[in-house]
Amino acid sequence: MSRFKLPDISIITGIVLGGGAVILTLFGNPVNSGICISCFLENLAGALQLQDSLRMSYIRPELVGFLLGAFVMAKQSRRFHVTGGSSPLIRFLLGFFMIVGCGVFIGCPIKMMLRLGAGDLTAVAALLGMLFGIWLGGKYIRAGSVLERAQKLPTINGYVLPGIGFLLLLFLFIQPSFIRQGFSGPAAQHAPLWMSLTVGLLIGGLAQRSGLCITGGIRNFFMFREKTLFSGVLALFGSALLVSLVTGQFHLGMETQPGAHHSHLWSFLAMVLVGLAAVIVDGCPFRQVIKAGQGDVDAGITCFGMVIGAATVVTWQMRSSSAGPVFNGQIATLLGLIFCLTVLLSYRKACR
Amino acid sequence: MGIKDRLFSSFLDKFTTISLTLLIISTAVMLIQHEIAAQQQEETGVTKKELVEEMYQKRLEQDKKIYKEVQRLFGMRQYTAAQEVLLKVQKEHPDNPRSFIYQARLHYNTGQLVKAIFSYRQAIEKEPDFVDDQTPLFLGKAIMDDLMAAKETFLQELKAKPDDKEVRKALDELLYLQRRVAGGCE
Repeated sequence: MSRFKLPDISIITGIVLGGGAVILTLFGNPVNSGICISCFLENLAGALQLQDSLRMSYIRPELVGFLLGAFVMAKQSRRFHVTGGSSPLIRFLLGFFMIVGCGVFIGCPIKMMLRLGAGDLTAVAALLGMLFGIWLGGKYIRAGSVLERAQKLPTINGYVLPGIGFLLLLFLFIQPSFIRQGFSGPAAQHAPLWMSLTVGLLIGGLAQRSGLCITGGIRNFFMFREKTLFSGVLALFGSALLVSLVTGQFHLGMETQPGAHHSHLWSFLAMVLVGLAAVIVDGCPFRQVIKAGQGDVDAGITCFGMVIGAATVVTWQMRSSSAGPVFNGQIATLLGLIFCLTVLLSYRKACR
Repeated sequence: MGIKDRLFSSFLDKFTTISLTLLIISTAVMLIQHEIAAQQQEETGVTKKELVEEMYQKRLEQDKKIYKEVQRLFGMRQYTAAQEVLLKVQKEHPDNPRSFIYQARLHYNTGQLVKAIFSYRQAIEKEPDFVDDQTPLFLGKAIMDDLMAAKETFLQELKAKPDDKEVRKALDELLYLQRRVAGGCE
């Protein structure tokens, strides 16, 4: 008798992530953007009053769910290992620039896949950019440009980020006066709290087990022809496409795409930045959140950089709108690329 | 070393443990008190949601009053007269974004499509709630209908005159507006 064999955990994670994100849009999350780490961080920064756009101020329960889901799963499966101390300031700035890149494109790598799955062809340039960035980063890794190894740290360090996660969860429920919540715009577009939190926890737990990472999956495939994580990325795209088709959210084309612009060159460059930075810090923005939940203090530092980046892209008007990228964002993208290449170059020299 | 030893083995450890306990209890008590007070205030007064709804209601009523005459003339298809009244209203209420909507509709109904598109853009830039279906100010469907009709005309005009920069620019604006009305992150 043949036994039913479950697909690999990374494929399951991809399916849940892609499908769950599209389903969340049906229940209120912004269209084509059921899950987007950079958008969520911009919302979080607004809720914490780090940026002043009320229309983008909301503690996204999914984000808290990712962090806590990963934490609980890591503790449960004895994979909570507290490490850190590898180039913290560089990681902080790379986290910052990853969100700058996401802001210029309008979306993180997950949202890019979701947009593609919903038929948004404006995201093709971004995909090409991210592939190029990851390929280039892989070349540098092969040449020896790698940040130094993390050290084992006292356990308390690993509890800081999950602790903040619990605090945010508490804020979500008691809504103290210093936490802002917008009543119109993207902040008002959200699925019910319990649903967002459940989906977030589930995805966080699964992602911790599988190690799913958009950039990591592609990097592994480019560098070692290793398909485990890559199959999860494909599953994410496939399930987002399928659910979009089934629920009538699929609109193939470039026009009338929500939260998109037609400056393909800047979409390309912005995602080169995200791909390159993600290879250096070993993980896309989503993976950084998951790693922070499982005790990786370096990823926690990157997350802090991402939050500050999210606040800054709004306050300094670096993020693009449907009208296209703005000067500040273009300059920040170029500065980000300069920073990434400088880091890679200096580490390459250090390794010689 | 057991937990008890770790927490109470020396004077300093005892001091730390007791201080931590007191600090946690004080913080929790303060937070609970604050929360109870906030809830009581909410029960006696109006909620945040009600305040927001009231704000939108007030705005809608105010707009209805301000644009009553424009709306009347518009309904009677007296566009020239409506334009004159609208100019007066714009002078009296320069910060009211709805005048750009009326301006766009007037341009649209008098066949000035390029101007209509630019007025719609101004309206949306000044008041994003016009394309936010979560608010009572939402006018996205009506705007989208005008955009779809104007798009056909622009495409035909561009076929006849491919070098017409004004129409090309207006078409770009129109596509931007369509993406805005489609929703998503701003």
